[in-house]
Amino acid sequence: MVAEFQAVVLAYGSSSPLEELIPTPKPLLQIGNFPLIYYPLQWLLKNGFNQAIVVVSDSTERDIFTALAPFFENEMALEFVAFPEQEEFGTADALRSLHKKKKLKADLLVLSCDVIADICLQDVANLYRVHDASLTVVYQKALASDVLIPGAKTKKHHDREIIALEPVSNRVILATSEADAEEFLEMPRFLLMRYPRLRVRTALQDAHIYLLKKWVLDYLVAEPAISSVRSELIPKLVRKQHRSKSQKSSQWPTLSQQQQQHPHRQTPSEMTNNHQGEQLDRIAAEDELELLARDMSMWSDHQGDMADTYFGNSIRCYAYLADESFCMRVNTIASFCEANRQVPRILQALLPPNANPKFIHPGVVFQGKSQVGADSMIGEGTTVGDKVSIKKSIIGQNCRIAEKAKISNSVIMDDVTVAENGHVQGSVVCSGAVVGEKSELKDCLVGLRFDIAADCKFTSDTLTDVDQLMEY
Amino acid sequence: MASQPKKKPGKEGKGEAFKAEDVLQAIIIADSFNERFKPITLQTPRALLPVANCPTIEYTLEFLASVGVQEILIFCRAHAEKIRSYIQSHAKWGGKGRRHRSVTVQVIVSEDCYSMGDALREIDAKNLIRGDFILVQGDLVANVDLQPALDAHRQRRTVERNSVMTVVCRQVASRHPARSLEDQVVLTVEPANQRILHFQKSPSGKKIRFPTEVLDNRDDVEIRCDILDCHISICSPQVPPLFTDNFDYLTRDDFISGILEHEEVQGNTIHCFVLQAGYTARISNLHMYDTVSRDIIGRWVYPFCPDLGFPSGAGDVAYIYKRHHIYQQRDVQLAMGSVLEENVVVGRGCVIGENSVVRNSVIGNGCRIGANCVIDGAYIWDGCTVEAECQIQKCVIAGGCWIGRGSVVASGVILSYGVRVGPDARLPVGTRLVGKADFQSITDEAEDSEREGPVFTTNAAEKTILGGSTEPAWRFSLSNGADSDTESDSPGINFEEASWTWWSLANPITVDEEIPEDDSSADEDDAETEPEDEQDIPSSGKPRRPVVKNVKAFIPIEDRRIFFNEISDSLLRAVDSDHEVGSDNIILEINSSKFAYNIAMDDVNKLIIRSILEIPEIRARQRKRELTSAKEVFGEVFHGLKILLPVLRNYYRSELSQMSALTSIVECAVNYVDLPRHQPYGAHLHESVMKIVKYLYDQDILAEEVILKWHRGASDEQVLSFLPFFLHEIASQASPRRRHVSGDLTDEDMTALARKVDLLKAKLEPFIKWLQEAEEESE
Repeated sequence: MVAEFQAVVLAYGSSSPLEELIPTPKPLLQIGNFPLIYYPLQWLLKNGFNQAIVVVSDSTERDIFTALAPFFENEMALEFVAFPEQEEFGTADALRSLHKKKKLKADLLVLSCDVIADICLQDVANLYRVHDASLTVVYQKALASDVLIPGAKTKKHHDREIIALEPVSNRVILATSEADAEEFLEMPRFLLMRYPRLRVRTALQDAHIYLLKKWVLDYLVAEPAISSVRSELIPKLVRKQHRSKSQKSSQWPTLSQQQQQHPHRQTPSEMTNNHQGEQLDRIAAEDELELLARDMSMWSDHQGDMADTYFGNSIRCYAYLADESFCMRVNTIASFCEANRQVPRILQALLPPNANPKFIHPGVVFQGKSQVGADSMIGEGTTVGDKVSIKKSIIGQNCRIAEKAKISNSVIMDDVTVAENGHVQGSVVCSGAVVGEKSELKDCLVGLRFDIAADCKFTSDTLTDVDQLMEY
Repeated sequence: MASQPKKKPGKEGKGEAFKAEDVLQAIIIADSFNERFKPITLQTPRALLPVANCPTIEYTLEFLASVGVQEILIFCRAHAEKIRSYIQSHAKWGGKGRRHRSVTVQVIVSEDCYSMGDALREIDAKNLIRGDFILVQGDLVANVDLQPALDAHRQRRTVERNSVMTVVCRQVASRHPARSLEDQVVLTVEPANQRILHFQKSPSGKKIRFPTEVLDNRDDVEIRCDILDCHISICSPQVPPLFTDNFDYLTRDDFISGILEHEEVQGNTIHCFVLQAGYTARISNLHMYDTVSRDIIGRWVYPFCPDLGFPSGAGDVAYIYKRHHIYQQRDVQLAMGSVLEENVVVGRGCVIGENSVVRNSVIGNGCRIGANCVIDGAYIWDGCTVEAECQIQKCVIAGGCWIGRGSVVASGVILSYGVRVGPDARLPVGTRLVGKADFQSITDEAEDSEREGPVFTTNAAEKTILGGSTEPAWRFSLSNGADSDTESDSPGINFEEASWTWWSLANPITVDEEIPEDDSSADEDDAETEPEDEQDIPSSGKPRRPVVKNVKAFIPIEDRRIFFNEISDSLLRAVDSDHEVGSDNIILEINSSKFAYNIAMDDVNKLIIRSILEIPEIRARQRKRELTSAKEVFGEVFHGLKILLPVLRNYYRSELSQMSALTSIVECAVNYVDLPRHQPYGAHLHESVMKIVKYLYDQDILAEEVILKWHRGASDEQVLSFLPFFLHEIASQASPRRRHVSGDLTDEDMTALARKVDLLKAKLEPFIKWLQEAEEESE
């Protein structure tokens, strides 16, 4: 697989879901006491990759390097490629720059630094290989919208993606979003004739794991306007799939004068479009021998007509649905909490069988009897007082959990103090914060070094320094 | 073998498993409520038309018996008595000692029903339904196993009382031959429980739209157009009352759409069941008649094959089955040198003459085929005689016809019962002839046409005499118009008719021209003979370029002229007022004028567009200002079209009406270009045709398919056949040498016109080319 695919992990400046609370860059957010970027790399390692390119920004390169060094020093050759931080530098831009630096030699496995997955890469690769795909996208189940999210309630309208799949091969026929479709989902008739049975899914999210043909990079170079892989490159490739190759640049000779009357058809870039179409055909051209083999083969991806296999399309996009296995992106507070809850399960899946991860660090000091659930993790140097109960929670390093504190369903980062009788439930408490005596927190977000006085009660609130200033 | 199906497993056990009230009922709607098969159905009900020498309804009945139905209700309207007596006289279904002992067949007759909805309302009124029942059409040919679908339906009904119907479909490829082009459905289904969320029937346009509201609260739906819907529905007992409550439901499709629309209010749901195996098809038009006949011969409908004791037509003797799908009765006489090539059914007592070749054909009982004939793809029913040296292609020849020596019958010909043609008849493509008996019934019906309802009037049976025949035969054409003077010539492509021309649905050419006749034996004593028939016609008898005789009928009668002026006024007012006159009002005005003057819809469609194209000229005249360039003309036309878009949207919904619009544009352009009265406007209009068509395409008024179809199909004859309205103008102005204004056009004029149409087609060429290319492109 290493020779076939080159792994690229994009850890370049995407904003952290907790940026309001804590300035840690996203790749270094702690999930179950590991930096977030540890998970995709560990997944690659598990799937047989011993080298990977990690794209980082200048400012975070050193930190990330240091954070990863203890885990992968002897196991994986990580090549860090740093780009200076700048606005509007999307995922596609990063790939394009990599390509221009001649770093890329094979087909690509691109993944984002915030992917936590234990899907079998072999299956994804097989889907890619079977159809000699141009692009294979992994889709995950979107988080259920009724999950309780800590912090102040914000009404967020979430736009669902609409993906039409051919049910047998999982070829992506149409990708759009609810906002684009508005009242009606429009489907060209010829597509329905070709793919008369379509599965339309809305609860799927792009998991930011892509297998790409190398020529896609040439296409990116040819189309400098594409900046994001997810929102621009993929929809574009999905649409371009259905072009017929035989089609020469369609001329529309006499109607150019009518632009004022038909603005929606006569785009000014029409001629260049045609030009681009031809260029894409050239870039995406398949090996002639392979075409010949396919032509002579009995196999076809569809039945009921005499059309060529794949209808002669040289661009083919497929979707791998991570319906059963675990796959998620940590890009929202909700998924951050969810990921922390799932950490024990994930670590078991990702680590080699003999690793036997320790959920409670040997350096934890227990002062008396306390209940710690098997689904909780406690970091090094933390003291846990008498009669403390910890359930389904992740507790960082050097924390102090005082007597009779109760912590459930929460994420407590490093150096946090929970005083006697403190209750923390369903919350995220950032580093250095203090939860006062007998204070109760329910579904709250507590910012960096935030002090909560004794006997306070908060429910579904975001507590940061700014609020503090305004309140007192 | 015929009784085989009832011994199927599941049937036996069912008798015990279900109580008395669980008798499985089925309703056969044995009337199509349309005129598809006219003129053959003038005398015989469609349910009794022979398919592979066996009445259609026999297949439906056998199928129902095979799936375990115990009580069958046959609902009929036209020729109900014939169906009733058929059932009673056939030991299999009626009378004592019937072979399907567990099946009772009841015939229900209602003369006042004009739709399937009416039929179900009647059934509701008579309270005939006791439980879940199967609803099918009387033209169903199937061999599928319905048991899983029935089980699924019953299972669902125990949980969900509001599931009123299970639509049974067969999964097929998108271009499966058994899918009738007019019966395409697109379903949106919830995969988990197969509930139908959205139902579209034969959607038109290059884009198919699905409402996104079906995705609300759902994250997984399936769009299916890989299904063949042949109207097998398993209905709950609520269905007939629902029809009664909603008297606007005419068909099953109305019902489904209505239920889905009111789903939130009424809570009723419809599910589907997709079969993976077996054969289902409906003989819903002649194209399907051909397809299904071939499939039966090809044994796709096993066990309903001629050699397996099925068909049990009179005599009940099984056919002998030979290789290459040849079925013949024992007493068939094959003369020396005659060949049954492949896919042939030959009925009892047939005689096939020396050196004759038969392939892909069905020949009924008691037919006599002469020597040296070639019969390919023909359906020849009982008791026909084909004399020697005949060549017969894909056609339907109903019972008792006589085809004289040396006749040539081209594709798509339909001869109704008892027609006699030849010797040396030349029946061109698409001819439909009726005999004396049919002619009587047509004229009777026409006289009777005063009453309400979809009464079909036809005056089109003009008398023609073919070959050396001494018996009269009349030409028959379908038309949906009401005006009996104009309709036979109503220009345009009639899709109703196009479905007759089954040999090429892709190229729907209605050949409306006269049959070239031999002048030798004009039947002078017949009062029906029109004076035009006496004109100079070459006596060669060879097929030649069609001549539009009878031009008189092309000239708009006064009503049409007045109607045209009225709608022109309305439209002009709308354009002048610039949006102030609401489009609803315009539509109302046009519709009331239509009724006032009794104008056929097709004419309305053509006249509206023509009027819009004339408006700029009228306006220019009013303003005393000439439109000097094509650009200016298009600007004006564009202005008018833009204002009237809602009106156009109202009228040009169906493919048929769009075709009318397009042909009307072409007519105007072709005819205006050199009418002196319309200069220089006409020439400029001619220049702008492509832009106009393009604009209408962009606004989704004209569908891509229609344009391409027109382009493919518009042979010169066709354009001439929807020839105008303008003809007399051309005749009087362009050719002053005309003898009389209403005179006929010579071949010369025709050629000139054809050339003009070709010229126009060339003008549209870039657009057509672009369309063809764009078809494949997704952006």
